[in-house]
Amino acid sequence: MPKYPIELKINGDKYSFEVEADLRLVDLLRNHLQLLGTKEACGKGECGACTVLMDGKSVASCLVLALQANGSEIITVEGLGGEAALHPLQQAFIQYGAVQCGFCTPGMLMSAKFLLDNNPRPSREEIRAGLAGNLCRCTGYTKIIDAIEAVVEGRLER
Amino acid sequence: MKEGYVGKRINRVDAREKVLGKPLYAVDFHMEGMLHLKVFHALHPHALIRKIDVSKARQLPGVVQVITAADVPWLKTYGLIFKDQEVLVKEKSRYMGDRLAVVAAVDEKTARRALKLIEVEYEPLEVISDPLRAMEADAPRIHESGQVLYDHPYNKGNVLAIDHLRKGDVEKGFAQADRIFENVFSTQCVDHVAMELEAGMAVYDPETDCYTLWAPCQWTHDIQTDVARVLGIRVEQLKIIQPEAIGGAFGRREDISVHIILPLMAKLTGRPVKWAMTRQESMIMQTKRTPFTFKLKTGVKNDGTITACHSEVIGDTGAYASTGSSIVHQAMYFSTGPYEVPNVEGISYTVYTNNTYTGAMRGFGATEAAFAYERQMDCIARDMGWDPAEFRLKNVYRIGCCTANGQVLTTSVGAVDTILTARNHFCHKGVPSAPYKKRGAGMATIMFGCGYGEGFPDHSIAGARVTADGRILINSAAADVGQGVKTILVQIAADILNVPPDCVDLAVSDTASTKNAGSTSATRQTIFSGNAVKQAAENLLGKIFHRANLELGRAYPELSVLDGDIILHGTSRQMSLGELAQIARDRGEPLEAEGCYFPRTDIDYQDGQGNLVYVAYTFNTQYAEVEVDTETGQVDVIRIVAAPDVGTAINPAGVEGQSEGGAAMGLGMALMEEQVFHQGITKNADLATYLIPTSLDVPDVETIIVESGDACGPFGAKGIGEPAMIPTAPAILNAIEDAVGIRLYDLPATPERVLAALKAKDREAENE
Repeated sequence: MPKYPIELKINGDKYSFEVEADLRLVDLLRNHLQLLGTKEACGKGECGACTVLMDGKSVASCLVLALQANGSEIITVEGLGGEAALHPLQQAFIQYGAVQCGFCTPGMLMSAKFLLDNNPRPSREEIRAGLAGNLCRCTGYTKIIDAIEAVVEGRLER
Repeated sequence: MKEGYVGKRINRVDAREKVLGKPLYAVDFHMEGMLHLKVFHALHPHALIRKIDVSKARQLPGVVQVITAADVPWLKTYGLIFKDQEVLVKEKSRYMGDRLAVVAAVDEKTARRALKLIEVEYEPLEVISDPLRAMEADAPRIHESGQVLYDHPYNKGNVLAIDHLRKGDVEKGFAQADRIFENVFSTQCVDHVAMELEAGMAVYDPETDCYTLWAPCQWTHDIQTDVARVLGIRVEQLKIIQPEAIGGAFGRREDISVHIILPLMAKLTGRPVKWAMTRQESMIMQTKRTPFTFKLKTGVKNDGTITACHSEVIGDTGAYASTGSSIVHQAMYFSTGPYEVPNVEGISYTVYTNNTYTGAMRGFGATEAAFAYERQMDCIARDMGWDPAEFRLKNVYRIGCCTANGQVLTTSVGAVDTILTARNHFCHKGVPSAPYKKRGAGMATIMFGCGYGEGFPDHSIAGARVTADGRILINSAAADVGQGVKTILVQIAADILNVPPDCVDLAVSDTASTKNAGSTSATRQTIFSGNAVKQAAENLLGKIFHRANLELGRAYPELSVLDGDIILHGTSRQMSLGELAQIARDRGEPLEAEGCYFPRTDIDYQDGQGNLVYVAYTFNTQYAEVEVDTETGQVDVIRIVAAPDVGTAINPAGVEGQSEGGAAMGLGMALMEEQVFHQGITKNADLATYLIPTSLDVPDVETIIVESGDACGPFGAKGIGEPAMIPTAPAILNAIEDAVGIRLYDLPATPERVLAALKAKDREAENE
């Protein structure tokens, strides 16, 4: 299969690749860059585990071809906050018990970031709606919503 | 007295890594030169296999190996209880998840292409999708050499097991009753939908003839034993390394998935191999929740006393046994719920069909039974004019009551408190959001037996030691599948040893360096591994005191351990645990200790009676408020209040997390989830057609923890994982009846079913 050149920015760094036409963004991130925080759990855009931000919009990276991401800027969970400075959402997820098995967590965090980037003061119902594309089988969502609400209301312990 | 760490809402020990996206799950493993496996599954759920031709697949460039059963005739069969599953089927397929061939290729794409080149000739047989058909004498036998456990007129090949429960005299009990209530309830097939799909990686070392497997297991040591037996190797030749994170389990990771084929192919190809399933493959191949039918007959006196209960239970184990027969008899054992019934009789049938095989899923029979008995209790209360909570309070277990299994409850029976707590907190229902919508409230109270019980040699072994840098290292094989046992074990060790939780580490869990901790199932790890770690920590503390006494010349009470130091009261002398550990090591008596929890239970399977059938019982009452749209049949759950009795909450935030997640899973079972089979073919093997609750479906779950204490777990704790979900489905269906007066007997209560029942009710009203 022929390969095509692409250039994109991922978590602030510029990359160029030669990719086959059927390579998905999720594969590019996981297999070519070892950004393993982005998870795949359905491959069909049904679960939200592979959610990343592409030019500021949340996308299911299993439904985006690497070629479609050409020229774009991608943020994954690894770009959300580092070891040294956790993103407030990451801090809140820890403090509010929003993490259980953790497999949906990176996608959940990215959807939450997208929500807050576009609506810094969402109501509890708006938070609920903002997470509707991200399945979680462990938590029942209550503590995830609590955590995001705590960020919105500035209730995080330092 | 200094406050300990048990009972505190400490943050999960793995949360920080997980929010950074750092832990490696099985699917994240990679090795240089690794091959990718894909499996060819049966295209017919019940057929003789006349011919498998893999020659074209073998010729595809990039394909390294293709095997069928003919290439590995020496493999033994496997299964959790009965060894009735073939790794690769030889003569016939029994469900669509059966495996006919395995392809190893340089990449996944090539492996997928190779599957399309495999040609199979089938001779279709009658597909049995209905357990009642399977039980008929003229039904074809799904297993030629099925295990026949009992002499019975039914088709022996397809009836895997028949079990009994007898307490008191049920005929006498019905004769004493003023009213008899008979109903038939059914529960559906459900997929666990753990977010992480089955995956793993294996390598084989020809020099040592040893295998290493990275794959998630609820019980590493049990899977190690079964895989070794199948491969014909000694147990020590296979090392299973538990990935540092596991993406949910809910019972699904108790059965073998990738665990045999990976080491097998690693040896046959001589290269590292990886297998990652797709969602569709996982949904078709791996275990499901057992579908059930319950025929319940209950005798009640006019004063509300239950005199007798008879249950007939049929469970569809699908194509293979897995733990099906235990799930089904446990459903029968729990069919009276947490209520004192002096006369009980039950019979249960575990039946093979050509549906996807079923196995453990959160509740293990007790969830399905609770739907039946809690709907039955509600119907009885309604028909006899009782308040539902009062009717339950009249009959619910208290200390001194005797279970359907004949066990007298002597300790930690918080059932009454769960009812009163949930009722008080729930208070009253709200106002409908539209005139065509109706609000209703419903409740359910349940019990769950923690641990395997029933005489199974259930135990957990753990180790604890002080490292040279003064930290505490716990060694336990208890699988953290997301529920949080790692955090619980750290809290317990920190509490006993008086060190901050962040000074306690958990060793990597693999079968070579840990001992058996039993399964992360049966709501048992807090009790079993919690006790084992507590005992190991206490033994370690004893060694610390002994060594400190020898080295420092002082004894208790002048000596104490605090925050990682040995302190001598009344002096300025102290010594760090790390220093003491090094001295102890130099003296040849390192600061390390082991603990084991190994309680004895018993049962007589002839009548299901025993003295200590389960080591502890968790009780849980939930209230649900629903709003039913009478035009569409759509049911919205507005609120769930849960009051679980966990004995002692080691970590209240963890208990709440289980309670909230359990309620969400119960909501899915109540309203939307069903794996649909048509003639053995899965009709909805993806997450667009098999729906699980989203954040828009699940309301806020309010959990009020009841602590009856005094249970056999560490610090009086019991488990919560499974009982968290058990009351939800019956509470929701009871609420639907309260809202619109329709009596539903079958799960799930889809809009179609609700609407049909509403129309039937309208027709009845017109006819009257």
